Amino acid sequence: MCTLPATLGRGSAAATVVVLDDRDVSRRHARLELDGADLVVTDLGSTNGTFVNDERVTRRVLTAGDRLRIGRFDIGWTLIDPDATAFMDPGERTMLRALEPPGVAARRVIEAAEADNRRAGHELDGFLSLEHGFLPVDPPLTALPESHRAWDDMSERLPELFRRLSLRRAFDAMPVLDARPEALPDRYLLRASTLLGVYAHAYQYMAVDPPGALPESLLRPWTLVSRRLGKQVPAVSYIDLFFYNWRLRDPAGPRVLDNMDLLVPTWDNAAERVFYLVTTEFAMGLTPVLGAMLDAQEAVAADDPAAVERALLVILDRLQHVTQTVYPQIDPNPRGRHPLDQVLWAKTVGTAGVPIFDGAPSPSGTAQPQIHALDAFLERRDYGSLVGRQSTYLAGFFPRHWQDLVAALREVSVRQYVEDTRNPALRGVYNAVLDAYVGDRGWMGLHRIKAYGFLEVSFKVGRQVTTGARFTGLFKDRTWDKVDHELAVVRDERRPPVGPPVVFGTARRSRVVTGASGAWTCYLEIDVAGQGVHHLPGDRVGILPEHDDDLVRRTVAALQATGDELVRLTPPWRRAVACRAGYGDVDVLPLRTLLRFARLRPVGRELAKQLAELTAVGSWQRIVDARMEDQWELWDVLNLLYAGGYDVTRLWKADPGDAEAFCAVVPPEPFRLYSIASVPPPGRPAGTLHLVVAGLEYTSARTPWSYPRQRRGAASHFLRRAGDEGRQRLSLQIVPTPRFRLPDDPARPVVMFAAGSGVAPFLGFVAARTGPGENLLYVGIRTPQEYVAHPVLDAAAAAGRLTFTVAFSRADAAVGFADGRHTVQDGRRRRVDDVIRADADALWDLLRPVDDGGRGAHVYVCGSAPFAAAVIEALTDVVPGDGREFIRRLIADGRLGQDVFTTYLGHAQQGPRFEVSELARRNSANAGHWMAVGGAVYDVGEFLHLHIGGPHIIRNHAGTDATAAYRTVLHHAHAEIDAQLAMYQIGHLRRLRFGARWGVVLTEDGLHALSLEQLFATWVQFVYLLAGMQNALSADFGFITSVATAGEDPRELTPFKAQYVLEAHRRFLVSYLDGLVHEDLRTLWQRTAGFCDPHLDIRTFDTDLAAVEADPDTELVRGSVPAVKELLLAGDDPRRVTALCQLFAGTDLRLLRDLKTAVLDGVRAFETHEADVIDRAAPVLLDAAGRVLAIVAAYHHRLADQTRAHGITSAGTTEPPIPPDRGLPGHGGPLQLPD
Amino acid sequence: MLVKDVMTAFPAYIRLGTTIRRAAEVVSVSEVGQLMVLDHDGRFIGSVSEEDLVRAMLPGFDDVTEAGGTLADAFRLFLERGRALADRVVDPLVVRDAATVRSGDELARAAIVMLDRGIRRLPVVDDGTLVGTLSRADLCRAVIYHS
Repeated sequence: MCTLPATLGRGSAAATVVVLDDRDVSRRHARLELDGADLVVTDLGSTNGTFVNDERVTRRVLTAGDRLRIGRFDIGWTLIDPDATAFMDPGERTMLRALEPPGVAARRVIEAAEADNRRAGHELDGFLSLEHGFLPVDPPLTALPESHRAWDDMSERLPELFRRLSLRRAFDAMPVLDARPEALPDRYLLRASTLLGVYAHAYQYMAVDPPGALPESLLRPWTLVSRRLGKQVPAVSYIDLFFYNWRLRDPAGPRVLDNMDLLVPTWDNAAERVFYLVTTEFAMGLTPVLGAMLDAQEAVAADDPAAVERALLVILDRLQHVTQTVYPQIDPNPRGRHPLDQVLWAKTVGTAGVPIFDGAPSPSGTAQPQIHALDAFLERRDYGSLVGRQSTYLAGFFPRHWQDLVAALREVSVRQYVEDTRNPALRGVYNAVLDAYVGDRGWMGLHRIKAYGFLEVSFKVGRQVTTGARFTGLFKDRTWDKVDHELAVVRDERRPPVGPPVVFGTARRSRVVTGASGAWTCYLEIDVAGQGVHHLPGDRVGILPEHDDDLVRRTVAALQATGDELVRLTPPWRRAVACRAGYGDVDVLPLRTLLRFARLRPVGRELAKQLAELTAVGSWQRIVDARMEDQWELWDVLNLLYAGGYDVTRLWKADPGDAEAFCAVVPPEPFRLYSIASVPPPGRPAGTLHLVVAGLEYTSARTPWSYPRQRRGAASHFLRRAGDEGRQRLSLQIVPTPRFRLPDDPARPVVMFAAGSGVAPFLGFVAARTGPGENLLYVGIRTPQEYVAHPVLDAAAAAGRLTFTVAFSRADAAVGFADGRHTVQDGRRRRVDDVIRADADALWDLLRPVDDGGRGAHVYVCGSAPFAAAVIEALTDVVPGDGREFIRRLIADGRLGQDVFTTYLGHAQQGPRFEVSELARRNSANAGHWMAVGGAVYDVGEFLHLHIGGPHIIRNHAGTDATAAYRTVLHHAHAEIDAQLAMYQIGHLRRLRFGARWGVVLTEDGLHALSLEQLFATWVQFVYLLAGMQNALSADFGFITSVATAGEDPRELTPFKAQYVLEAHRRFLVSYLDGLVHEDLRTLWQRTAGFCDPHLDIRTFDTDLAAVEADPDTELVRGSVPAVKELLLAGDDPRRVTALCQLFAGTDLRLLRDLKTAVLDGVRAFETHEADVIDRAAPVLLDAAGRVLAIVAAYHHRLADQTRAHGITSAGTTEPPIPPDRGLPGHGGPLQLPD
Repeated sequence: MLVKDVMTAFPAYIRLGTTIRRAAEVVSVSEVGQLMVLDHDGRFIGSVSEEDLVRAMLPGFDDVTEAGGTLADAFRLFLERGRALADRVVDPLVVRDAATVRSGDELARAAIVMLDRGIRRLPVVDDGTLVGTLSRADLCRAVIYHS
């Protein structure tokens, strides 16, 4: 409080009344005084000025609402009316208060940037505003001035020029236009930059072989425009390609993919459009995050936890939106609304951004400013990885405003605030934000899975250059695995040091309903009030179960321990235990406690194999070979191992680093997923979570590998106990289910099918569906005793919103609705699929697409895999015409949600067993598509049309063992995905018995003994390799039928596509065939020869191979590729080029087919004779291995003959060697970092 | 219990310069798989095992291809090399940095190094002089059978 007049300034001189501590404030800066009734501010000749409403003033009368700013301070004032209070000294009539700065550093940066861009009249220093985020405030220009029309005009011609491979000639002929400021004003610079950058890259990458140099017409203006934008080396930036390369079809419409077009497309194909525009929409979708980050930081400064939570919720909402709605628009499903074919992407878009000049930044994903901002806000730990360093490097090229913002965002730590306040609701929301950003199911997790799919497909079809590297590896080198590993490392770098993403709830009430058969269901409520749990209808909750005392006691006894022994935890165990209520960061647990948290039943495949290897107990090995381990629990396995002579105490006595240590062998219990049967009010956190838990109990089978015993599900029994006690603290994790969401349009009808406890998510759905849309719920239950009335269903039916049908499968009953309640009445026993067929007409009317006169209902299925399969099967019958195709479309439209859960399906010996030779045959449209994962065999012929990652990935693995790929994308760890696979399981691979047979082989390493099993494995790997090559090559040549440039007839083999056929053929010769013959076949032959014929000279193979390669036909085959390429580029004889392309594609595929046929003869010999294969079928094996080389020779002869018939008789110019890989594929150009 | 209570006090040994034939003879007569090797002054140098002798006869990849390239050739070569090696001195086959124990060491100490390094018979050496050997069989006999 002060009296007027008052002096404001930095110094503490006597005359100064209000001290403003800021270097930008002069010692005596300004004076406030009253002039009559007016409050007047006078600048006292300050250095940096006094501002009223952002205008510099020397003297100004202040009125209410004016903003007075000095330095970084906003000055507020209140004139106190002396008449209003008797306690005020009339002299002190004014209260002056220096307000805190109006915002945190990041807010000041944005405000400055907004003002700066407004003043400059352009946004060359970086788009940055609260309203548009990192996107331009004014939409990108669509035309240059008349003087530069030649550039504008070229844009439309690009696809045609690409198609005909005539692009370079066209640009060579384009005039050199003036790009100096006097000819091209600043406001046109960004459009010019986009145009010239796209053109330069098109010129560079149109043909597989790069040009000698860029033409003057491009290089000169591009260099100048780039310099004017602050880029020393010309390069296509993220702004050029994405943020300044779109326009709204309807300017008043929303900024979404459906309402956008590219301004400067290159090929103008579907892949380019979807990929670029989704990237732009992604940034648009994150725009509100910018303001929310500022709000959160300011709320931290103001110590306002409620405001922090509100801001974090906005970020959470936006992250989930872009992850679950925007990003999935990049949809590899060919029936999707915006299909993006990965092969088309790889051959066009995937290469477009690679910098032409060394050291230039690339427009790769690591250059996204919104990601850099989020990283800064969430305090990314580290940038040390290859990708991390790349991203730091690229950020160095950011325009000024972006750099300032990212730096400013680091100034306030929201994380620290969340930790310090220890507010569970805030912590819950903060963890949810982190999980939505870097979690396995969050944005980065999804990105990693998606990138893996794209990279695998595209590397296999020879995506030669990426935005950073040239792919030179052999087919089997699996470069995409290396990239994936890098992405995993980067995701880890992003995770700041905060606790695990768990919330804690308390089991409250439960009600157990037991049927006549003894099967029970537990209806449980979990109290999560104040935990900041936000979820949507359909989401799942993961729960960490604990074992009961009885099982723990039994296991302690089987381990011959007391239970008090201390066991050191391994890192994965430490992470798991940290998720438990009451356990922080512990590294030692008593054995008894450890066992409560360990995966004790049933015994998993990995654990089973590991125990067999560690203990070498034969009886257990036989059980594992029969895949019957799931009939056992850990304690009875331990007893068996002990009886077999293994010292079970070694498990808990071992050092934590040992392979034998308990923690290294037995994994911790994972989160078990349950659908949430309740919904919170919109926008509010949940207070209670309702669950429907079906009890799992079964008797293990009486077989040679198992004995009958009552078994129980770990999680269901845990939850039942927790419900009984009513106090148990549960560790919970919310798992969003983006593919199981109610339609946005509340008027759309919804049809739900559930079996047993599968009703859970639909209880939430029905509660959330309060709009006009119709709801149908079909539930399959065994007997009326198991039927439970749900008030939420009664209320919805009473309101006329719900039709509820129950099918009792084991009792003649039905459920009717009267007097506001559903009750059991007389009826007929039937199953849900019977009901579907009975209601076929009504259902078809609902399911039919809107544009086909139907009502476009959304369909949901929740239950076990067999139930889901039965419902889908019944639905196909409802459809007149091609039912399967209808289901495929339903999935592609996002109208079929499946929530499939695992239940015990009986033991492994029940299903059929298949041979590898049978599996390996199944990778074509005619033979069908099968694959193996973890020893089980799946028929994925139908699934490949439904796979979210698109059909290419499935086809790539058909006929092979896909276990490694399946696990890399964490499908096995995500129960919601893993369970769906069970719908397609048809049996198991038969495990062959080779006893302890062995043989001697001679290799470069000398003489060695090899087990017969290892020899078989060599054959199997070889046949899988051949199948994988067939799959990849088919996808590669399949490019012929795609629409690669706008306006082309997909049946025409355009010169652009023809060059890729030639390239695929060249790669087949170099990357596939050479590696196959020189390495894999050689090993196969050498090992087989050793086992089968001691009188065979080991060098025979090399001699024969040398003869094949010295053949003039081989030379012609190799040399003809450049010759045909020359023919293509000359453009004189397209018909001959087309014929040659067809010849190459057909002959290459036939070779792989023939090779596989030969090798399968050998594999079948193993399958027929098993341990006796050498005695009985050595000649068959030798013949099969030997024939392979003869088949390759025949291929060369055939191809050479036909090539000659087309008039190509000599080799063209020899190909330049491929330079080594540089940088990391997909993440930017070669780094030019100081060492 | 100490090493000296259990060890074999009169170990089978040869001297540097002995032929491989003689070494093979000692192996077969003494039924000991690992011979101790002393230098000309009688000081402990290292050991040579029957495994080393057998491995020396095993031809490498290039040897086999020079001799015809078949497995049968490899098997023939194995026998021929045996004959050819017999008259050469054993010195190149001697493992000179062998782990040793002292006669006053604890038995458990010896047992651990034997298991961890796959050693069947340990030289017992006091101040450079071989005073005995300790085999796995010695350990079993003393620690289990006589316990």
